[in-house]
Amino acid sequence: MRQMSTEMYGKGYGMPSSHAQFVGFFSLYFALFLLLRHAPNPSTSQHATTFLERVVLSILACLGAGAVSVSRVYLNYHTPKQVVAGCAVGIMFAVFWFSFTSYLRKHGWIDWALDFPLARHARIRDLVVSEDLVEAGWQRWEARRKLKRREDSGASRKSI
Amino acid sequence: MLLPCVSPTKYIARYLDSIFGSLGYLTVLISLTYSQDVATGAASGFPLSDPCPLREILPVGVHTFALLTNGYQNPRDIFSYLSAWLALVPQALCIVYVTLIWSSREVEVILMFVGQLVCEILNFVLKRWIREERPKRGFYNATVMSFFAPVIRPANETNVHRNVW
Repeated sequence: MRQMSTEMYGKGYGMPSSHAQFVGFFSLYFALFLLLRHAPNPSTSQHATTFLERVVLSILACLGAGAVSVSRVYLNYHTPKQVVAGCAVGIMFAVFWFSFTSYLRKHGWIDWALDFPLARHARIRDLVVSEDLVEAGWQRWEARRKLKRREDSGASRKSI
Repeated sequence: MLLPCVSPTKYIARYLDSIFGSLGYLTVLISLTYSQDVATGAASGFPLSDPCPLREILPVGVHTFALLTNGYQNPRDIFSYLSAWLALVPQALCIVYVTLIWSSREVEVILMFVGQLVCEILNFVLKRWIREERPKRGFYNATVMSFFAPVIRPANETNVHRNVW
């Protein structure tokens, strides 16, 4: 029997599954960020996500990662062992990377890097840790709109 | 003087947007090109012989397109159809990363993306270190293979040497 092309099975080696590792890292780092690092300041963003909402988001991300992992076995691109190994490596690396970035933050390396002229010109910022980005942008827009309406009503009163 | 005096950092920063945009486009284009190659290649009997390094580094769901476009999946089985789409999740997330970095410029997103890329390099190294094969003839592949057996074959003799047959 002639051997079939590897294209049909998926290319290269299978241990550990790169899909499982990718989504494993993504979902856990995302969850760790939402639950441990992202703390929107209540005074600036009242309508930011609550902790419970962030827990739900994290669970959804993990469920999605689980679905992707299971699909690899279902399509027979990987053995269950390869997928479990991929998830394990992704999760371990996410924990390592989160600790590493926490270290960088704690010891001022992020602030140091953001002070470089190139980073400043490229407008790299570090806002999402303490603020809800949607709220921050929306409040600015709301304030501007209110100001414009006040000006418009003032102008119309003058013309009468 | 025709050219205004700009510091080199400012000059580079001014073009960072275009670099970000090009990177995003490139990612999409390369993945689409390769998926097209696999889809047409498998159908015409010309499977890809040259491995693309990017396909090894990013878990590009090329097989998904082949699955969806060539009808490899069993149409009666909705889960294989769903699984084929789920294989594209890493690609979609890469596009999300690039878009978020470009639009929000948040250092946290950049750090996460760097971590994701390092994670992929780690996978690349682990796969070549462990060297464990993928599952061969499961039920799913066996069905697909027997169905496509008349289609999937080398078109000429030179092709035989270049591919794993």
